[in-house]
Amino acid sequence: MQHATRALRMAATRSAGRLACAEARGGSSSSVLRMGALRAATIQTPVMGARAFSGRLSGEDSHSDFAPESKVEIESVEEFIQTAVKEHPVLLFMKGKPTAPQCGFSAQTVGVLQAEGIDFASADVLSSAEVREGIKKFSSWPTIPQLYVGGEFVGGCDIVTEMHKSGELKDLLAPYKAEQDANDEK
Amino acid sequence: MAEEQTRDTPESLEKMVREGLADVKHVEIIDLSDGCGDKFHLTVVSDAFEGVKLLERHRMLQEAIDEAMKRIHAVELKTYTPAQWEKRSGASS
Repeated sequence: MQHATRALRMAATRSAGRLACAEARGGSSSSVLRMGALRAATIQTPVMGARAFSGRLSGEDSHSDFAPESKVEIESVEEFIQTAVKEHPVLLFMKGKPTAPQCGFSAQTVGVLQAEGIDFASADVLSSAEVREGIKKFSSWPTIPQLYVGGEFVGGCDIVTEMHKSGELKDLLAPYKAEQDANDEK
Repeated sequence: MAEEQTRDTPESLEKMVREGLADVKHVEIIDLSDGCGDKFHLTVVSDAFEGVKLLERHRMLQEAIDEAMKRIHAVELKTYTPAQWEKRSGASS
């Protein structure tokens, strides 16, 4: 039986009035990830990456050293996703990262979130085949990008764009934006 | 296994949509991948979307073309009820 060992650190950072961006890195650590339940049990994959990203400003990232980190130990991709959508109220599963999307639909969705002025975290499905397949199963949705708000699947690019145009997305994001604005003023 | 229908076309997708969804009034499918068959735009007008939330509409449509989604890389979906479609077409420039 093969075991893959990794730690996943979800880094989230915010600082008032600044674009905050941090990258989660995994490395070997004391946490043990059992890959036995997944089909590709023997693959030692690189870490699943996740970035916290502010939708407010475009510009440079702040250094991940300034990021508070929470360590996440996971048993499976499903658990990783469940934890991630709980921990990050606005989370976009996308191809590439917000500063460098690798797909037109992902880029468009990032653009919409930026237009809404909401801070969001993102996970690059290209950095992990398991996450890429796992999120499709988790959501019962065959394509990327996928937006989660408040732990619930909202939709892909078409839906998010449609909701942005109709104002429905603004309403959905309002409580989260209010909280972010309040935190900024502290 | 036959080699013939391994590539999806607007025609093959339209067939799936009409078979998988009820009351389809209008379908427009465009291959956005220059004939490579892996990226499509689908506009579907159906009474079945009446009173149905956007996410659910997309799920219904994706279920209809589920078989093709195993091959297709990307889709753009636009769903309308007949009333919504009329309103859209009738919009003045």
